[in-house]
Amino acid sequence: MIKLSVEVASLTLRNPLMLASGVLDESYESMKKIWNSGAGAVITKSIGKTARAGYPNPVVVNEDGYLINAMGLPNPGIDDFINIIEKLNNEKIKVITSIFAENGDDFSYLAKKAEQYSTAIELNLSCPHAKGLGAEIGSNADNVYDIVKSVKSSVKIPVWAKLTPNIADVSEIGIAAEEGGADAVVAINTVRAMAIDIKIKKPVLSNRYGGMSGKAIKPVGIAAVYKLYESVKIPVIGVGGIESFEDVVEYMMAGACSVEIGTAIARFGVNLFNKILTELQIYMKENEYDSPREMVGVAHING
Amino acid sequence: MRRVTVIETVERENNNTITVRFRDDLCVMPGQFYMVWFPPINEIPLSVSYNGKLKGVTVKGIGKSTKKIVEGAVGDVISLDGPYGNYFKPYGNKILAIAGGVGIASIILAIESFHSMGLDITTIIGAKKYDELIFMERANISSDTFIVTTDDGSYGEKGFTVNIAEKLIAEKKFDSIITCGPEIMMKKIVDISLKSNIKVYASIERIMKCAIGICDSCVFGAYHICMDGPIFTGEQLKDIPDFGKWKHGFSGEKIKL
Repeated sequence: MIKLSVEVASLTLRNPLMLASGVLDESYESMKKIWNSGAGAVITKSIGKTARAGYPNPVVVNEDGYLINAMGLPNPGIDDFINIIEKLNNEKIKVITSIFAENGDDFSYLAKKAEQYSTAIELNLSCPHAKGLGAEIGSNADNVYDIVKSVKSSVKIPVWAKLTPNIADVSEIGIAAEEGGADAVVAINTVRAMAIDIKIKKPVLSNRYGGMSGKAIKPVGIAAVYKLYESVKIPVIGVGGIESFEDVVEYMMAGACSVEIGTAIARFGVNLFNKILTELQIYMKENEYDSPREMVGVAHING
Repeated sequence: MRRVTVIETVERENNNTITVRFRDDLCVMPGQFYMVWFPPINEIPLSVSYNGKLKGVTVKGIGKSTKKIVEGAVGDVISLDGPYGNYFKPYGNKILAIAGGVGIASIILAIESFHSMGLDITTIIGAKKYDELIFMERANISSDTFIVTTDDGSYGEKGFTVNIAEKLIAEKKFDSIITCGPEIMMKKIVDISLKSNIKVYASIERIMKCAIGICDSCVFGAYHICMDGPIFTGEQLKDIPDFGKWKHGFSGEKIKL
């Protein structure tokens, strides 16, 4: 009997696929639609203390195999957004609230506000294109330790740290998050990137720099998850370039206990969740796995 | 695929609206839109208002960026992405087209295309005042019946498109209605159409950022304008509580229409 449910530390999810932060997750309607399409949880757009409009257009560069975005963390602010997660929570939808801030106190403030209606908190320590936020603070192990510790002392629900790949050694930050008390680490956020239009002779994105996602970054994510699995004892959640059940299995074999999917939804539609779950079950049956847990980390020598 | 094209002409429709013409070889259907980047100002979704070899988009100065564009800060080139979105298909033989203000730019190609198919087209164009009426010649040539309204009576009939439409719908038997304009106007048109049991198609506008179904900016009920629109049927619209009432701002906050 195949069971798709997974445990992420103390949490149980109905299946290992989650909606990644930043994609179709600023509105109640979109997140509900994705939950109804089969996701095991939905992770919200990253929310800050006050409303933020984000960067002017162009905000995306869409090419075969990858997408570069610099949305600029647009969000209506926690006090406004709380109404959305409350509605989702009332309908028993598992919502993980992604938050961003400049320091531990502000992260804790946001986490406390979201706690009542959230299944868990995901700390955005990794957005690669926002000044004084995301990867700018999340690239420093001491900062990460302090922020996670501060948030952990403020809320009782699980706290996940989403890590940046734009550093030499992701495990150093992963260990800092674990020591700060994180319940799980999430890898990876987007890879810092830029595109220049050679006719206009300028960067395409209004912010110039953006974050790359999509199929092309999967190997970067796999390497990060593999490294983290050997470096920390807390669960690792894989994200980056997942488009198929094969990608999910690959991330799990690298060490991910569950995964997040984002960019692929724009390419293949929300039915992707159901498609992957169906194919994953067939794969598990053929390979005699009863639970996704049995695949986690098998690519490691001591897996 | 994003591509750069040279601006061939910039035509002034009135003191607050311009049409930019350029070459693009891709096939565009009536009602579809491009994401048009006017470097270094901004990239905005614009309905295609001229088809064929020399295509065109029409911009009204409303926000900070569109004002800059209309005031002449247009360079030599633009970058295009698209065409995106669904398009107007003719339903039946007798079609009523209703446009408010610059909304005519989104339905003028449908009017011309339906007319060239030999369908019976009635067009109502409305604006606040005479200066704001655009594409009158084009709409007139392609319509069997053509009516203009202005709120202040400075041209055509004094009053609103909705009142004329309501009267015509009661008198004539239209097979379908297409509309684009202020959403409050479209809401009234859709309500009348649903009550009268006539198919209606409305082109909806929201803030659009990515245009590829990622960012959630143009969320519209359970739909997104970029992926599911911009044209919605009366059947869809009657189940969207935001229609005619709410839109989202740049940070996702709800704003009353």
